Amino acid sequence: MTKHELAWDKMKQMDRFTVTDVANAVEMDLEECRKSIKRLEKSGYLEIVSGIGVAGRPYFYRVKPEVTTTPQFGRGGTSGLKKVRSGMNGQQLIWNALRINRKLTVGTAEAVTKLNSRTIYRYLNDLEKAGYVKCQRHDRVGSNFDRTGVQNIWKLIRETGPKAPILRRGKGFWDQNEDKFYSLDGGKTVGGRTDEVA
Amino acid sequence: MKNKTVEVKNVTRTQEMFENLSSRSMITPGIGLIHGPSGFGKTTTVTYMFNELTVSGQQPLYVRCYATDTPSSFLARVMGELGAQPMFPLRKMVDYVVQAMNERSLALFVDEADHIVSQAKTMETIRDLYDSTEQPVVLIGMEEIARRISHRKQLFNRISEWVEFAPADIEDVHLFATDLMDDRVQVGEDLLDFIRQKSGGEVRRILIALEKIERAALASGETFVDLHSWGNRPLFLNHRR
Repeated sequence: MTKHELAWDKMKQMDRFTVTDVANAVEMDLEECRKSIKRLEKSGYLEIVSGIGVAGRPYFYRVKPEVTTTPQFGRGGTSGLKKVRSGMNGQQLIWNALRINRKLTVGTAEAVTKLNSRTIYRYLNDLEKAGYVKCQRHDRVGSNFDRTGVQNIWKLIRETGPKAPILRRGKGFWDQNEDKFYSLDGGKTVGGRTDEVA
Repeated sequence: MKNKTVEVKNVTRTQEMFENLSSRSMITPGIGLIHGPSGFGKTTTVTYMFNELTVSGQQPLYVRCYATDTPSSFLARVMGELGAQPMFPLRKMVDYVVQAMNERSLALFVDEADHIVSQAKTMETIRDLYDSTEQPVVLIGMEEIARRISHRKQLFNRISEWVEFAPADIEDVHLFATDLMDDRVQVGEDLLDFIRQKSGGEVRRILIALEKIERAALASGETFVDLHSWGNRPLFLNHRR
């Protein structure tokens, strides 16, 4: 059992507690304990019952009465991390489909990736802005493909390798194969790993 | 129409093929062959399976062959898949690929293998990669590839699993209709069989026909469409092939 899990057990036993109470009870580093409690609060397991969070008047927390599940500790313990991982995986599946098929519709991509059509559409659209694919459009609005029966076709024009370009929303793509950053305005290359835009 | 991969016989046989290649015993060779005419769902099935492997953390190497490929360009593509630059002489690339495939337990998918099947040296290179790694190697090509590969005895003997993409049968067409069409629309067995016959079992054509029926039925409010109620409305661009 990790210190974080021990701390969670202790929190469940106490009616209300401060960060210091828990840190002392399980002999945990104070700042580490603060991070753990903040994370649990953000995930909806804990709530603040009193205090303003300053020296002398620290926050008092309690475990929310309606909580019946145990939080996940370790890697993937926060929803934020999970989100990023599944997104990355989804992008890889779309990229695989593009590489194998070379031409792709949202419908085909949906069938072979099991991803939401909106997610696929957004990723393909951004790939187009960065110059990875070219879209042969049959309709004015991307979302009405289901009504017209004719789908837009995205054709892969820059195949850089097996790893999917990572979308940095609003900025561009980090290409893991070439170690280059392609911006969304036509795929202008910003440079190698050292010149990467933060 | 819903967008999903329907697990018809060609799809399940392909999945079984890869499972058998991955879990084979030491004495069974591990080269697989997927072949069949275009339009039968080969590429879609391969993509679906490739993605399933990716999700399970075993993304294979994928190389597409071209008519102009040589052993050198083929190996350079495999090196690209591994994130490495080509090396010369060629044996350095073979060593590098073998080591990477062994270390990371990577399978190799070779698409459009028709282009290289007549090139003895490239085929021998693939055989070398397989012999040195014993990782599954899957060759994908058109219908003629099986016959052409049979002339290469050394390689042919190592093919333990193969899937020939067959035309969809009535069960498959039925599965397409139930899995992909709107739940409000039912299609009669006679119309499904008519579609199977006229499409020649080609998945693309079957899906076009089913989509036409679904649209027409939803537009007119019909909940059941059979051959009689469909009448002589067109289903395909051209009935004769």
